Amino acid sequence: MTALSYLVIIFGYLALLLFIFGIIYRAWRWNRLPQGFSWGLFPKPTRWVVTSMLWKILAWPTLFKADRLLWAGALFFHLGLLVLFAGHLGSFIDIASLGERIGIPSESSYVIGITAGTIVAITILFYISRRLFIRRSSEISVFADHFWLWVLLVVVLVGIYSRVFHEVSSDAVRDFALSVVAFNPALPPQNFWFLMHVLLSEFFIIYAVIGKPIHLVGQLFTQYILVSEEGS
Amino acid sequence: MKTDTENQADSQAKAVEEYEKTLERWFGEATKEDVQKVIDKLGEWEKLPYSKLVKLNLDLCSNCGACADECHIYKTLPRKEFNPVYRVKLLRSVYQKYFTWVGKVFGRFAGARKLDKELLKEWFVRFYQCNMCRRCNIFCPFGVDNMAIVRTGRLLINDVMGKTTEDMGRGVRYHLRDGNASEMSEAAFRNIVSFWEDEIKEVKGWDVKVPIDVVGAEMFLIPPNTDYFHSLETMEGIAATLYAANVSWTMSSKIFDSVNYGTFFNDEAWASIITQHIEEAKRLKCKTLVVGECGHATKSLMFLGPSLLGEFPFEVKNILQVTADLIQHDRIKLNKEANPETVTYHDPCNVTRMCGIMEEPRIILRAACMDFREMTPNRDRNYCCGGGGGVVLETASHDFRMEVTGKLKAEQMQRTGAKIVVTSCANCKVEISHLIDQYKLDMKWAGVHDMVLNALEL
Repeated sequence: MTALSYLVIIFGYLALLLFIFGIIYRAWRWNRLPQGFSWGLFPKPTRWVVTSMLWKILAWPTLFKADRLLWAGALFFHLGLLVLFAGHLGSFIDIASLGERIGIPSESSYVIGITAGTIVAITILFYISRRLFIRRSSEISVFADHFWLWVLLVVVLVGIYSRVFHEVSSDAVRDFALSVVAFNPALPPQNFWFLMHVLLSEFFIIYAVIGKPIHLVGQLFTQYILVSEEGS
Repeated sequence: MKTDTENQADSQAKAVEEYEKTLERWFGEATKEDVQKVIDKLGEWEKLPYSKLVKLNLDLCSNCGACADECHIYKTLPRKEFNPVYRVKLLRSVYQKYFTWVGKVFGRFAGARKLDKELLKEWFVRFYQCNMCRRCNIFCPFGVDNMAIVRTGRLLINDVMGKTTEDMGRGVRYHLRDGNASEMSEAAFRNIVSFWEDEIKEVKGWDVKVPIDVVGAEMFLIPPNTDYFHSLETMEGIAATLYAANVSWTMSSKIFDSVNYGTFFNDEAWASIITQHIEEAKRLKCKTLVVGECGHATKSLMFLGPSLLGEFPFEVKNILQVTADLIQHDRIKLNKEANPETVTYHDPCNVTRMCGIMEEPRIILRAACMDFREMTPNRDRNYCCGGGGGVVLETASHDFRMEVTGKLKAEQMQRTGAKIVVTSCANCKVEISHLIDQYKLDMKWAGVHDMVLNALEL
């Protein structure tokens, strides 16, 4: 268990470093490349340009027209991820009392977490089945496209399993997380499933920076090119 | 006995196969040195003036395939090779192999692929089958632009090996040599212009004199060369409109062709041809350079040119904008009854998606025709006619265009029940005229200004 604990700590720092500097590096690289041509796509918004860009980035209105099932799957997937992300902030801050202030009783965090995790797992299975059975997607999918979906599925399933059958107290998790952030790492809670969940998540975060999951950041650049009047 | 569907599948397969063989023949054989040079060039691709978009496209496309069903080619013939993502992957796999550590370490698992002679040949075939219409770009949630990928692939091959498709390559050579893509002499130009004048006299009874080389005229008109031969009524309509509105305008006896096939595959040729247009506009001291009914030339001169060569000392407009403005300011009088038949409009991709000229042709057609009805989908959601990206310029692509790239457009035109399909791009006109013949559609084709010519009154 101790070896696994050390791996969790080492990979934790690595993931944090790569995530922060990786995103900055990739955004910096995209930004410094020339886009001398005005390569817009009409109709372009004449007012509310930023709102229009954000609408495209966050709500994917054209995907809604092209493939409603994919749009719905992607919506549930991302909303589920957002809820999970918010819930995991509880590892660093006292999110339960924050939730109670806006009317979410702390006892419901279990149900919310498990529900969001299940939704994310189901939508990942939906993504995987598209890549396996929908011709226009399966014929162009490569190993890497499947790989990150499977990794994320395992992360989520292990997370659900550890929460349901091997729950670790939120105080113990927070103590560990804060010690890591303070660069004075304590030994994490000694629970195999919890440690596996954390380690796999760290692995996924590292992959997210070099792989496709970084599209949220990249989209800011593409959507800007499409609405801008001049080269950028 | 084969069913109609089976016969159609056979003829589509044959058309694809034959055009692919032709493309392969035009490509010839690459050498090992060619392959290496393309890899080297790809390594320097960050110098491309639009490398930001290309890099983002390569990095962001998640192979979801949402664009595939929005591509008129894939919709007609759902083969892997016609999937827009497949084309992105052709370039990305090679880029990954040589220029990303993920591709170097994980190879095929990461989708990376070694470039060899055969793959380079496939690049040529696939990149020249695409119509570069950017419809897939609209529907991609990440904003991935297949046209930027296709153009980059074409450009790399052309830079290293000098290869492009036959007629398009010839057009560029002529343009750089003569100032127009169809080897037209000044004498021929003057003859055709004089023929327009005679025709206008015969049809309208007006003594229109087309101004040539008038320094200081407000507008300098450059139509596409195809309209000189294939769509004379369009040119007569434009001349008659400007005459009726008493506009100060001119044409040039030296630079009278707006087309710029460099747009489709070569930055240097592209810039040289734009420079010809700019220099002539400067010489004539015009206030506005007006592009005739031509999609890619409008895009080149209106948007890409200024960002490539700096701001022009004059404004660039498309003739549709000029005529719509004349109508809105009551400077010309149109009699709808001269065009009683049902008319529909095909939105050219370059005019619409890439230049935003969507309402102007509708203003004109509603003013000039009794019964105008929309095609579905229309405006920025339109389907390409099947000739875009320079594909229509190749005589050898005829069957491929008729059986595959243009089929959806033919069905769309037929569904309108219109008697006349109007469009505002010379290449679309050629493609649509072929589709009408091929599918024996009970309709005619025309340019926007053909309808204006009929309806125009003094």
